[in-house]
Amino acid sequence: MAHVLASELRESVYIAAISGKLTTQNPDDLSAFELLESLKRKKEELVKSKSIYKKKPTDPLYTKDQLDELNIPDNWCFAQLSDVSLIQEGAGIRKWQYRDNGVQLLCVTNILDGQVDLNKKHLYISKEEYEEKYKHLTVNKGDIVSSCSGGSWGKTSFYNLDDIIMMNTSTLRLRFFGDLANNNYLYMITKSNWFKKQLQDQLSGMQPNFGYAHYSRIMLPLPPIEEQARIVARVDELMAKIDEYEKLENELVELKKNFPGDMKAAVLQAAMQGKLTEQLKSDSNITLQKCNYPDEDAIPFDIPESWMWCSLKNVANNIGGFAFKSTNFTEKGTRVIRISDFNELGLVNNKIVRYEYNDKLSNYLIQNQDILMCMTGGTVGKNYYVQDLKEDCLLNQRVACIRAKNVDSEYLNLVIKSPFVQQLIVNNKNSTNDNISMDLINNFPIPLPPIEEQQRIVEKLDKLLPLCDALCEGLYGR
Amino acid sequence: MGNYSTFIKRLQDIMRNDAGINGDAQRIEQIAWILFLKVYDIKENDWELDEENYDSIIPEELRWRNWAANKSGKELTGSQLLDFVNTKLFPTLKTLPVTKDTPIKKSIVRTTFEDTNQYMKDGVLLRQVINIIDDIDLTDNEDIHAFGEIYETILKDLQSAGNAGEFYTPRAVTDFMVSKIDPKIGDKMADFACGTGGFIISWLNALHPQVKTANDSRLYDNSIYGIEKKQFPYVLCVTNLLLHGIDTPNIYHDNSLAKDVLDYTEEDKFDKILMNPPYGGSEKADIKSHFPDDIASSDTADLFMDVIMYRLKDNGKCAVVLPDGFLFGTDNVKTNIKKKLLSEFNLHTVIRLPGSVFAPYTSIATNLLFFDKTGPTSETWFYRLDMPEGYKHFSKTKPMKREHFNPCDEWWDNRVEIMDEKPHEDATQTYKAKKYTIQDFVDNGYNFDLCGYPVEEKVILSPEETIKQFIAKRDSLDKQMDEKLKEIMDLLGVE
Repeated sequence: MAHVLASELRESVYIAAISGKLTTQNPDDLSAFELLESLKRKKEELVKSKSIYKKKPTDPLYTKDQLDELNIPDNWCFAQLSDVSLIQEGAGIRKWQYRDNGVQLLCVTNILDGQVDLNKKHLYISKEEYEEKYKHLTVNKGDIVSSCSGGSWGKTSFYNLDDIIMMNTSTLRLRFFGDLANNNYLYMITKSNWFKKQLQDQLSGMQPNFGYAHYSRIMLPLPPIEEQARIVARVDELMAKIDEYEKLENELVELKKNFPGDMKAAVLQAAMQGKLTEQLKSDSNITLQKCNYPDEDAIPFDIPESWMWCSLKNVANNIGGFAFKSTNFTEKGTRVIRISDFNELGLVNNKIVRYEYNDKLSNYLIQNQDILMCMTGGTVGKNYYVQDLKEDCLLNQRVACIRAKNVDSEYLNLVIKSPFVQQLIVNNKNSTNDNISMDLINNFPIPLPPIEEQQRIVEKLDKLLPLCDALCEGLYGR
Repeated sequence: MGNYSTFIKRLQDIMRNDAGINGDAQRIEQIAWILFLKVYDIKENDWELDEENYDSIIPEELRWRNWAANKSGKELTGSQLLDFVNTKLFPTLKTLPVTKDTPIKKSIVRTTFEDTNQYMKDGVLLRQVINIIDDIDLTDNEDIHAFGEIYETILKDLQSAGNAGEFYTPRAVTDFMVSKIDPKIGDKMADFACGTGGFIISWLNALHPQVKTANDSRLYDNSIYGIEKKQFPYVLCVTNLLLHGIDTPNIYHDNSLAKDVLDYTEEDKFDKILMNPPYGGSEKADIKSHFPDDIASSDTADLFMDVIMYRLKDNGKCAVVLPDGFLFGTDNVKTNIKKKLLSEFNLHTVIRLPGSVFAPYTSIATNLLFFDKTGPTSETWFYRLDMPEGYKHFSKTKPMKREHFNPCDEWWDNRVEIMDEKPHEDATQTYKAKKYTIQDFVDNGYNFDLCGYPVEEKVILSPEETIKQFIAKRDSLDKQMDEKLKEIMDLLGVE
């Protein structure tokens, strides 16, 4: 079975819910049309008694033809949101009105999807000012509150806390007039694309900042009140299952995301342990004489008998760069490679800096087949195997240059990229605030096979590693 | 006789120069048959004394004492020796006349040599190796026992000899498992994938103190039973047992999975079963056909679980090592196997072991399952054995020891829930030890991945294991997702 994304599934459930496909229509249910009328009457009452403001009428967003596409059951009807629900925006409270305590303001930040968290933001106005001017903006228990502007517009939640709060700017509340219809049903609809799209369609290029004018135009299907409850029950059941499904789906996405990297690490590690190549009798003996054998505890794994452990300084010349002063960089001259001038794939040519060359700097010239490694900062440990140098380049401070001397440079590059060396860097940088030392680099434990086997390993990984990379593609369909 | 390291080193130095020996596994294989012949010869001395009319199954001129034993100046060497071994010794021993009635202590010579390889190409070097082995003093039981320990160390080297590591279970693990299975005189134990005989040796070591009478001794000798499919570990196992005083090693060179499970009768059942079955193997239809469809997995380890369930006596006890894949695998067959286990057996304990217990052979995570045939499971205790202080991981130079199980031993008889320290307030509570009921397993989809290890440093597995683990997890998730989707469709009323 192909895998349906959880969010697609949710949407299809909402559409089915609001078009009557999830529930059976019961002819004995009370009339939806009469429900609509009674809601309208209630609204008139509330306006007359000045409990709510009279607002300019707005046009429904959808035409009849558009509404017909939803194909709702015969005993349902459509309602315009402003006809059936309170739609009240918060006040534009100004900075100078804020106090350290008093009545808390409901801000966009306090409205999460499905929950109001008063701890997320603490803004207050004085009790007196609230009582004088803003009592009508009090959030009542059972109101549906919504964030209606900014990047996270559209989040809705019931308000069920005991605290007395009032709405700040960019928040809005909804509630069926007189609670004559099922607010759970209304709440459910606010979560659907059917609802959100009707707001989005009114955007036309501006920043999201919705208010009464936009919300009032929203059309919603209105079932008989008994069916509203049935729909809510069905949707709750299904959403719970879809949440469980989503968890699994996320696990799977994560698994697939991690797999190519895991494979590369496993292949590199196996190569370093001599498990991907044969140890041939015909290989030459290792001639490395002086060898700082890493001590017992530092040996990460066992290697074949014909190999040998040594330290990086035994098989490579490692230096740090020259401490160029950035004020001395020039437009013309020899290029200088700083930490920001390279990544794992190559040199970065965004902001090239240069320096006037002199012979004293000759030791800092980078060569092809060098391995550059960043020793400081957020990208510490990143390394690049230099190839195709187009011009002379000088090494800047805090960039290390590892130049192979008794070992195949491509093999050395693979060792540096292996999980066990990378782990050393990670462990070290964590304890020293994103810095690694020349000392650490010089003492990287290097598993050393005979030169012929080094080349066999390079050959083998040249084939295997691209295959691992290719695992990324096409993994997300199945 | 010298100690282990000089003995092994001398052999290594010589064999390194022989063109025919490629790698540690072959070296050990070569030593194996030579040692077997030497040990067998020693044993025959005893049998000749104890029995009237003892006849060796080995033709006279092929017996160790006559061609291998040091008789300075006259013994075969060089190309003559090679010739003798390749064209006379091996062919004859491979085809010794053996029938159903041949006593085990004679038939093992043939089964040992049936598939054994003679790797060495240099007769002079071969003679040197034979001399070193002949020099081992095995005249009395103490020497034999001491050499048995050396032999165990040779076997341990298998852990670093590439794929051969699969035949060896660390003795810390086998000793621990035997200690929890209540060995008694009179019990018959079995290991259907006995490898080099680790569980059997641990069993015998644990049982030996109980031997008080001659009858006890007889029961002791006959308490063991093993099957090993591969030639190399079979030889090692038989020799191992001979060195440990079992004259009739009841070990069969056979495939435990190649018999119809429904054909097993009471006689095929055992009081105690201990095993570390091979993992990751994939069995074909001909093997699967010996099992009922609902539990006929392609996974070798799963099939061994099936065999155990058909060969455990009522009130019998079992301890088995299984990989994480079995615990969290939720494909249909694995689920059926787990359901059968939980409904017909009492799975009382699961101990989770850290990844490096089998290093360097593999870093795969394993678990010890303990169950008995006293009725269905009502609850299972899970316990996670953490790495001991001062160890980041086990390795060849820092292997797991029996005492690393001490915290578990202490907990075993006094079982309580142990909570982990939460990394931060909002984290879900995890446990080091906890009891779960049958309902918990049902609710969790028969996924036994409980009381697991907090994720720290990523363990790097071999490429093969990485792929297998990915596929198993992916398939498990796919299956769970499909089931969830089905639940959703059911709710929607869709067929």
